[in-house]
Amino acid sequence: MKPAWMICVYALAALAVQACSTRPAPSGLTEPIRVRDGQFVVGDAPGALPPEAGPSPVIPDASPAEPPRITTVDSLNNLIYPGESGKKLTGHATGTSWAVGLRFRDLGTGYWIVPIGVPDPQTQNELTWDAVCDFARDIPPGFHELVFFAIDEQERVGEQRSLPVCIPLGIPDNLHACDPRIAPPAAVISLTWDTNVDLDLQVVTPDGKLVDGKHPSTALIGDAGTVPSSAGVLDRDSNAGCVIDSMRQEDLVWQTYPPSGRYTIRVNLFDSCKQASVRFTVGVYTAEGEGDKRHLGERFRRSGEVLDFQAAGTSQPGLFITEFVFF
Amino acid sequence: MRDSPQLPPGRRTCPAYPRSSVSIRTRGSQGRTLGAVFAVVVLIAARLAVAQTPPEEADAEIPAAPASSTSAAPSSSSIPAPRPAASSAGPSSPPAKPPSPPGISSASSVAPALAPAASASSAEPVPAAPRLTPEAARTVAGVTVTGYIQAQYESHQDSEDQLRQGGTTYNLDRFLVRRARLRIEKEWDWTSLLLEFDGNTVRGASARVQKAEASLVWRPDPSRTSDIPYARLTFGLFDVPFGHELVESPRVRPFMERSQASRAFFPAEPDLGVRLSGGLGFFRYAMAIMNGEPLDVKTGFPGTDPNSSKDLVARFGVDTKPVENVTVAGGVSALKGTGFHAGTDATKNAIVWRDLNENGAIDPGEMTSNPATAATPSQNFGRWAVGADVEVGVKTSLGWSRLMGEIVMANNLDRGLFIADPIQTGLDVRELGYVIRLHQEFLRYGLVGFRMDLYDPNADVFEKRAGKLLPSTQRIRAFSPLVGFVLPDKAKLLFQYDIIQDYLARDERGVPTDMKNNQWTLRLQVEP
Repeated sequence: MKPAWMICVYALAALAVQACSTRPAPSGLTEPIRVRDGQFVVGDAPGALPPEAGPSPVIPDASPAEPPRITTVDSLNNLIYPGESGKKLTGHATGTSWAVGLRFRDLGTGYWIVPIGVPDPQTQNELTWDAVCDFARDIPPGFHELVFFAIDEQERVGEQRSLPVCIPLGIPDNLHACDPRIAPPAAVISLTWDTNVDLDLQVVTPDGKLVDGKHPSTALIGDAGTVPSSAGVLDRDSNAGCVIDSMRQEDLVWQTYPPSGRYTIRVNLFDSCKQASVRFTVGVYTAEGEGDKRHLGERFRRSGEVLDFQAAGTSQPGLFITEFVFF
Repeated sequence: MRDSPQLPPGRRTCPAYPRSSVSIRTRGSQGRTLGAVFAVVVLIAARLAVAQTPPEEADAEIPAAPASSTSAAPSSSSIPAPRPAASSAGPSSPPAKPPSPPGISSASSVAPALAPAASASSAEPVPAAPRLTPEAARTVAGVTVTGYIQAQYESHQDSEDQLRQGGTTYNLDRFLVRRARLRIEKEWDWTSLLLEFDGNTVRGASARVQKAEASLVWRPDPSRTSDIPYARLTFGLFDVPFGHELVESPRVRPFMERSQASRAFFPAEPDLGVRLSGGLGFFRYAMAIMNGEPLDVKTGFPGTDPNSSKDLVARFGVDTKPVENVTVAGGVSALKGTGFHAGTDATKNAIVWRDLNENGAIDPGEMTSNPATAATPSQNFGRWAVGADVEVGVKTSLGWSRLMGEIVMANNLDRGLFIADPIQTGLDVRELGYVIRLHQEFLRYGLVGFRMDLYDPNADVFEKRAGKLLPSTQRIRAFSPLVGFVLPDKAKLLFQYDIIQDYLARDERGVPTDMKNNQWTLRLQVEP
């Protein structure tokens, strides 16, 4: 009996050790960039860094002895919104390439691999590639660099190629973060939340006008049906009627400084959309500085939570947050 | 490997961004020929074995579990084959111990609906015996109530603390109740009834009817309900009579789950229909007409039937004990059925915004119309499968050793993993699966086993590589060592490690390679 028991115990222990020593295989879901049909690999981007900016070097024709390289990277727009989905990056690689890798140079923990595509007869039979990318919501705003590299059958990696991209600020800033020549708005009241519910920002102006999803402007009735450029405008009604857009953000934006006075800020849970609760943050931002250094600075910030039974449509005023005074 | 909420090991355990592939059908009859040869060999071997069996040996000493399975599955014992692994899971008695009477083991209490007979000699009348031990069954007014619970912890290498699109969890490291079964059965002279409920927490707490069988029975002696009937006509919900694994009770199966191919073809064992089964001597048969939509199929109609065509399933085989302490069982199976490709609903006009310049704003020319579209009709498609299986058991001083092999070739039958839909792709899908397993009892209290199985969901898959279209593969292999401790007829503590080799990931060159999705399971099974 004893030997049988001992054999079983040893086998069990060996298998348990083996089982516990295995590390999870990352799926890349937490990365700042996710590539559909791609394989995530942990690590820095292999390959030589691209040459310093200057006149483009003469690129010799690819030969089997040379490592593969990316020849072109095409993107419709180098502006990437936080949370953007389905952005397509395409390009060409030399004929010995088997796969293309890409990642943010300064963000994330690894890179993505996508197989190479079909030859393009218009480019001396270079091979085409494309990557459909999703981007995380929490990418730091500002300029970043996407790097690309090609890999061949022998796993040789050629010179990297980069694509500068810009991530705009999370709150509306007229793309000032990507182009400092553009002035940011004068003031922004922003509401963000964490769960897919129909939460509304409500602001009552010193004139007594309620601004919310149904009344998205601070303009008064006397404005003859037009919205003056000085009026504050609500940019969206997110998750309206529980039609989930996952934006979970509403911003009241003034391009010019708002009329002075007390602005009452409330948060109204219109519909909990079957969620138990929602945590939110309200922020007030105003422009600071002059010229190219003008930017949005945070003046007020408060977080809170609303429970599902507090959902009341428009029958009651929303949860009081603060009375903010614009001077 | 287990019935997955998390299929395939890739798909199921499929990465968030599964690779794409194209498939091209080619014609070939190699597999068919191989299957036919295999089936003939099995039948000949079994017949020879029977011919050499002294009639008196068959009943001389019937190992506890196999014997029990013969007489213990009167509700459906007429289908050949799967000699229940119960014999290994619940080790047989030591030599010094008197042989258990027929039908007295845990295996018997929940022997598969198509459980094997202990031996061909069961054609000889055997003394009527209680079908279940007091430990394994509770009988009140002739109604037998049995049950068991399989609770486990499982760990998957590809688990991650994230949610998939749609909200299902990536994490599969968890405790769960895999099966909590309660079975009620009653045998009369000419009729029988069986009802089995299943509860589990695989996809959250749930309960359902697992089997519901109403049968008319014709036995050599109607009063001897333990005999294998000449014919049993069953209506209701029962295990599909195809192959060995499908009709083997999870209670007695030594390994955690069926092989990958079996689960892909039949995501769950039961389906609705009518079955005619029985046995004569060593010969066993079962023929069934079924809806063709077993429970848990992922084609959208589990437990119902979207088309009027029914699946025909048949199994013919043998079950015998050629010499003392040796058992042989095997059979051939076939399925011919009709799959269903669901049409689409009509749609209304819609306006769609396409962010052509990817600036996040609506610009001129970016609003387009999606005109209303008419509904598309549903279509049927043909599917078939053939299979063969054999199991050989040998009893030594250590206990029973059992070697089992099964092979299945199919066309458009995958309903659980890589769903086959030739209407969608325009190509028939050729599938192949086989399993070989060996398990060995160690005295009364130990159990070791090893299983190797392979599933090829598409024999004609191609893939682009460096601009060229090359033949590729989607094969999934699994190697599963198993160790366990057994309290006979009481409990089993099993540990199984599944080394899964597939092509669901890509290497640095973009070439399909093995995904890290091994898994292990520690299971405790307790039965009354």
